[in-house]
Amino acid sequence: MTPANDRLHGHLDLLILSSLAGGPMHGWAIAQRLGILSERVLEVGQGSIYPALRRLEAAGRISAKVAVSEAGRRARFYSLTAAGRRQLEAERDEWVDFAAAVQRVLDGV
Amino acid sequence: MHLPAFVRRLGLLLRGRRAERELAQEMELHLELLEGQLREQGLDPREARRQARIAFGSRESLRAEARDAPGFVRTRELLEDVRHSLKSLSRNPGFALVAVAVLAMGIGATIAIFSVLSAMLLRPVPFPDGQRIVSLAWNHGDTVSPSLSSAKFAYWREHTSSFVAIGSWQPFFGRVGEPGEVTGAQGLRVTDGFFRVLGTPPTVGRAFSAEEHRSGGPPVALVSPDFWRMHFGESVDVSGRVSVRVEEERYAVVGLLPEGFTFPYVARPVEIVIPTEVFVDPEDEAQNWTTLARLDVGVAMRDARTEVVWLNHGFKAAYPQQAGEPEPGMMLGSFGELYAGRTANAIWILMGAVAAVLLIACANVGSLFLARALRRRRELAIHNALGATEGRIIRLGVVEALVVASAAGAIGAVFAVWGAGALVVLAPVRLPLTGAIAVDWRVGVFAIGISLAASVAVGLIGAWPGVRGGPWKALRRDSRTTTGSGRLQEALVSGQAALSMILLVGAGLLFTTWSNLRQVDPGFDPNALVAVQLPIRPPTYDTSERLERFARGVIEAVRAGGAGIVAGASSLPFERGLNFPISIAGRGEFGGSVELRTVTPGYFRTLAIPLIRGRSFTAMDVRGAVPVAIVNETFARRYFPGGDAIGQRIDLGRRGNVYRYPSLKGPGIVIVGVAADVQDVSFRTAVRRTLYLPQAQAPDVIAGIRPTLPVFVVRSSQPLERIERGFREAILTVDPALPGPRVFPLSETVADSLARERFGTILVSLFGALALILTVVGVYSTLAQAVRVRRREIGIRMAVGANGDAVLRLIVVRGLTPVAIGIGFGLVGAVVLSGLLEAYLWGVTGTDAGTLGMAAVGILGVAAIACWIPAREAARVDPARVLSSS
Repeated sequence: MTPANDRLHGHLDLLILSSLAGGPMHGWAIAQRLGILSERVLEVGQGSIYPALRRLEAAGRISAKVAVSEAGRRARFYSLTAAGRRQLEAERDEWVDFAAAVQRVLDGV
Repeated sequence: MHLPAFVRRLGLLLRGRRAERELAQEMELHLELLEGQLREQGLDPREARRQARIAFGSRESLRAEARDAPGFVRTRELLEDVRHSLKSLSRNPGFALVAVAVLAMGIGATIAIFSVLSAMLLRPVPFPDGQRIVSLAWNHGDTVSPSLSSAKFAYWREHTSSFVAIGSWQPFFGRVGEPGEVTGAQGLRVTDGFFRVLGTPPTVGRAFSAEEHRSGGPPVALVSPDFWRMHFGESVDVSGRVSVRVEEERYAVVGLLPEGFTFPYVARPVEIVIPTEVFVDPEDEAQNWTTLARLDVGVAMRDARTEVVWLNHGFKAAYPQQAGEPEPGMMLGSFGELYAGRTANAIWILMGAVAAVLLIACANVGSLFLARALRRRRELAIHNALGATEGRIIRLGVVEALVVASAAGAIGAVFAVWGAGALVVLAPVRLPLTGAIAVDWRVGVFAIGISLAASVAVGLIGAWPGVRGGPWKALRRDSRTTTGSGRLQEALVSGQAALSMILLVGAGLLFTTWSNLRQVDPGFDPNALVAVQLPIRPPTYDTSERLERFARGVIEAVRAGGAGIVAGASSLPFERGLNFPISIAGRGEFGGSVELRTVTPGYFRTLAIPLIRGRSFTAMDVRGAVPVAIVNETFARRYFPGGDAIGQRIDLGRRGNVYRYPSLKGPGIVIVGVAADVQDVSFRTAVRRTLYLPQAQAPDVIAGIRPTLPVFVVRSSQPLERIERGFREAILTVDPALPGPRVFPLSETVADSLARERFGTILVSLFGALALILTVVGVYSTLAQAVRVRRREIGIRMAVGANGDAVLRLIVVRGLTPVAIGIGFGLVGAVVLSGLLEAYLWGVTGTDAGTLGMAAVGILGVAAIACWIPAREAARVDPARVLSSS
């Protein structure tokens, strides 16, 4: 696993968590939300969210429940746990600080 | 890991296949929706499908990635680990073999002792609702006897309200069958209530009626199905028409015992059961009634216990003659508890000993794993660097240990079953078991638990360098440095030495006890003394005169054959005589109970018992002449301190002013001699007050009580076969109906009386020796490895001028230091634990300095030899070669 790939994993987790902040979603819907990013920025397949979902589930950040979707299909719906919500906030703050710092360097302040 | 996290992961693990299926379904759904979306954008179905797959990515590798997510199903990985362990162990079969063998020894010994303990204490008696069956026992203060006197049994049967039933039994081994085809059979005489306590009524026929339990009632019996088949064939008739002859009486068979009926504490399967009544005799102190009771529904053990103990007051008021001694009184306990008693304590001590052996085995195999892990440290570090997590490496070690421990557990369990059986057979006392030794769920759970514990211990020790160092440190340091793990290995050696010390001290103390007891002078000379015993007493020999005539006849016939010096007696030395009450003539108070033995003239000469004062018995001391007696020194000291016993009179059977047997009333028996004390019961017990009466003057009452024919002792240098032939012929001339005698050297009986001590000594010594061997192997392998690792350092030392002797000293001291530390700890442990063994010691205290010193020196000496080999190798290191090779 290359370091770059490793960093993407971290970002993917953050993006999934933030997608779920609005309420429970199933895998397809999460992918749709991340759609604009998928092929071009992350350079990994849409399917990558599934291992990430498993990892987050095992870590207790999200929980899954099987329910029927609006299209009438059975699917696993994911939602944030309390621990997941805390992690999302922490990582979001970190990201904002980091992005701001990078921005300042690029702007040559 | 926090507990909730652990539970969550466990849940995921258990969901296993379902989780994989869910993932696959989820992915399929995603692909379908993606395909649909692409089709809507105007792509044809085939193209839509192709592009969806590309956009999604490889499902195979995504599934694999999901599986690797922490906490995702790991079963397959675990199987892989097991396969990997098997492979790596088979690459090094010597290592695997030693590890399995050492652990199997420890685990096997522990399981064996546990299965005995389980059968003795943990398992309920094999009867319906067995945990409600309890035992009544009399607490004498120093001992607890599960047998009660008739008065005690009757009093508690009458007064307790905690029990549904209360019953008692006496085992007997009787001659059964018609004349000409008599066989021996194991029987029980049981009181009314016995079968109600057990809850196992006869399966065929009926139980005994109240009338049949009364003496003089119709003689009836229950027999075992096997007994019936053997004597009466296949068709069963329990109407009472068929009868069985036991001794001289006929009993009508009214029912069959349940198939496979066994009764704990009776050696053989019970074949015949006869009803009996308890004759309450307030004077009779013989504790002959072993008593069981069944708790009533809703009665707790605690309540029953309170009631039973409370009744002691009432009993002591009703039977003052049986409450004279300051006895604590009746107590209630579980069946196993009260029977196992002292023997169970001994088994617990053995359990402690084997647990120590197992710990040593774990430490030993742990150090083998550790040494191997150190050798493979670079390999592990590379694994780690290549992506195997630290957890995975530790787990690999534990799985390897688990594989070894499982094999050891399986092998150990097989040997344990065999070993426990051997222990029961070889034990000189019949172990109070509630049934046969069996591998039941208790033993199974214990075996699995102990194997798991051993594997975790071994695995963690072996994984130590992985935990401590981390991969990078291990890669950076080369294999020449061994700080942390070296210290762990030394600590393991210290621990092993400490446990060995404790075991060896125990073995040493028991050995000293045994050899002390062997040196006790029995008071007679057992060498060249032969005992002759007849197995039965026919009922025709019911008076003292007949017994005397028989004894005299045999002695005369044997003497005529020139066998040597012969005498007869009521019982052999090291066999209990008769416990009989006496008082001293002219003194009103009750004298007490003494050991009574009737002997023929020549008894003292034959056994070489010195006569201190007075005379021996002669042929003139017969019925009609003045009744005479000889007492032993202890007797004389007790009743005539400072005075002369000779000429004093004894009233046989008188307690204060009451005669136990009216026929014994008379002018008293004159003491004519004082004999030296003889250790006549065992080496351990104090000599009892003993009264010898001439066989020819023994009252009939005594003949009636003693259920055996006289025994004979011969001092002769003739071979045993010749003596036996002489007696066989002599007995035939006196009574042709009598069977042949049992002839054996008396020295055998004397040795047998020490069998318990010898057995305990052998067992504990065996465990001690095992511990010592394992420890020494540990010392050797640890030091040998240290020397290998430090070759370079040794080479440098020698290059700068250290000579071989200095290196030798250095290495030996280095090797012995942890041993010495361990011995120190062991010394403290042995002193602390010495109290446990105190009850089994004789003539030596638990903190005997000599034994402690011997054990310490012994371990140090053997360890020094173990150190010598690697040290000598170190001293021979060639500095030039070592330095150039690196």
